[in-house]
Amino acid sequence: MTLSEKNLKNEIYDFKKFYHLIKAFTISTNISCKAFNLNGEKIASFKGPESDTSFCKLIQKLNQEKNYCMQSYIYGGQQSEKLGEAYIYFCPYGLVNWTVPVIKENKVRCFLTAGPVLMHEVDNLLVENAVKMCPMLDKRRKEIKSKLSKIIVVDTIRVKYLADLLLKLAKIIMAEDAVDLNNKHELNIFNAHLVENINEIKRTYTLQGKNNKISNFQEKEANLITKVTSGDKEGAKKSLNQFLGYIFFYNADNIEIIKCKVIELMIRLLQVVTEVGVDYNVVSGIKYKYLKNLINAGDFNEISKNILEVLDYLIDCLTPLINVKNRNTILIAINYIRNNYHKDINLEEVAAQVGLHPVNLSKMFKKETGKKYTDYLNEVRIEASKNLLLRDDLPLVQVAFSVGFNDQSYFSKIFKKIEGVSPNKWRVLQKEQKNFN
Amino acid sequence: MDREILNELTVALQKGDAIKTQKFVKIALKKGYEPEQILTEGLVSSMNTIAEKFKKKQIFVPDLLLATRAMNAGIFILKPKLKKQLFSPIGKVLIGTIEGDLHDIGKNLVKVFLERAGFEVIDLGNDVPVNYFIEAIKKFKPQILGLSASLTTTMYGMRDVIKALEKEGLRENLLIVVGGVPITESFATGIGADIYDMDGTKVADKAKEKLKCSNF
Repeated sequence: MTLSEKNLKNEIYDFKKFYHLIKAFTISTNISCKAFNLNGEKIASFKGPESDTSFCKLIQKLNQEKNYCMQSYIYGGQQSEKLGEAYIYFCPYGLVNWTVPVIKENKVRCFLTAGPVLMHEVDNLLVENAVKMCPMLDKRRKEIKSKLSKIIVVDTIRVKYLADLLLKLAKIIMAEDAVDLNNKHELNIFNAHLVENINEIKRTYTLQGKNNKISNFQEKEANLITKVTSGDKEGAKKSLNQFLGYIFFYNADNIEIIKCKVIELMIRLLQVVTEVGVDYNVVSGIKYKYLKNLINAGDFNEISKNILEVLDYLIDCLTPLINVKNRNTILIAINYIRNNYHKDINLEEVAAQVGLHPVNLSKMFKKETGKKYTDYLNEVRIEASKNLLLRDDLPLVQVAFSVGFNDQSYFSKIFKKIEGVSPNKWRVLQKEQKNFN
Repeated sequence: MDREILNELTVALQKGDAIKTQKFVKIALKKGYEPEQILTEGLVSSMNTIAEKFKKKQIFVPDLLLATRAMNAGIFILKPKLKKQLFSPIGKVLIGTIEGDLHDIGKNLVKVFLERAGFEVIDLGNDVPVNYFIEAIKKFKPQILGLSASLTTTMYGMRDVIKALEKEGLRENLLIVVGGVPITESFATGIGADIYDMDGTKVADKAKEKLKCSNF
């Protein structure tokens, strides 16, 4: 290992950890890894135990002046920083590398580049490309072919996961700064989906024409609002993405209209979340900040970034509220069931007590308690029936009616399902137990 | 004509096998397929399938890289057949993707069709900064400039290039073609481009038409 420790120590939080992680990577994967500064200069190098870099050494010596390798390291590093993920690429000579950034205090300090590997066997195309890039190799094809053959071949799926692994290691080194990188990555994914949505609208537009324009637009807004109020962050982002794709498609030539529509949407969202119970003071602060940002936004990309931040923020405000509210609702429902189980109560009746649609209550009940409404009701009834069963004089049919069942055989069936024995058997067992004691 | 060879070509390309891709392109040519058909129905349609698989997370970036390598290998064989042997090209086109944008498949496709239509094409590659475009226009003096962007984050770079051209006094006597996945007709008009089509294969014909009318 060669290492300019002094250079590197200043750039990294925990140098020891860094050293161990990269060493673990190179030894376990047998793939070399280098650290570069922002100028593409090598500041540390860890060699995979059996990896062969004789091709790289030869070519760097011959093409010293051209610096292709250095340029590709810098370029790969910049891309990985921009994308917030590992950047996998062919080097100018056709070998595969991947790069991740190392960030400290919001600044990229160095890049880690792993490789080179090949994703296919050495072929003539690879050799000819090397000769094209370095004409001095013209008469040395055999030699480069043999040097290239020493580079390990790794299949595509392994390359993907090796790149993910290097990024995960880099994130450990970066500690809190990894959050920035994650945000960048998420924004890039959001933008990629946006492009897909625009493209989808382009395709359907040519098929269906303008007819669906207005209904679609309102539908998309309504969709988004439902997702926001139910606290479904991923779903809301998806809906926002579709909404943005839609307004961009119809107003791409006029950024001011796009701004107006997005500002309208923001105001509407703020209204909705305050209606649900978010404190107005909490949202009014961001209202002015983002209103300003949106008005001053220079392009569509800035607009979508800002409204995405608003959405994120609002849903975060809503989430605890939604959970608490749900819990209260369920408690009221449970109380009602416990007080009225002996009557002929149904889901509609309980839902009416908490002001919800029966379907929504049923969903929420399952989510919060892990049980279906009917199962819970049956459990309460069976529990109550046990007290009555302990009284010898009470016939089963009366026990069943007393706890709210309309039918004795159904009562017996449910009892057996929950307790594992029939009510009669249970009664006998309880008596035996009592005598025994 | 049996399509078996195109199917084999598709399989080879999707596996990222550059050597086999070249082999099947050669066989298809021998069997009398038109180079354009091999390009669109063999290479481009395979890349579309690959893009779909990528979207569904069935394959990942390294597979894309390998498939792109195979496609370029195939295009390398097709290229001499696609080019019309013209002693004097019908016009000169400068083409490139906007700074920050590494997606050049669409641009490469348009380039092939432009060359096929008889244009001389100067390719600046991908991730091209605004000043490179300006310098290249001064140097090569093309009649047409082709700009490509595949991301919402890079599409406004097209507007920046057009603005810079206006500032430099280079906008007149220049037709601007724009394209890319997020680009729409109204966006293209809005930033002041002259030619746009959703279908990259139609751009060359549109450019030819427009150039005829403009007497540059």
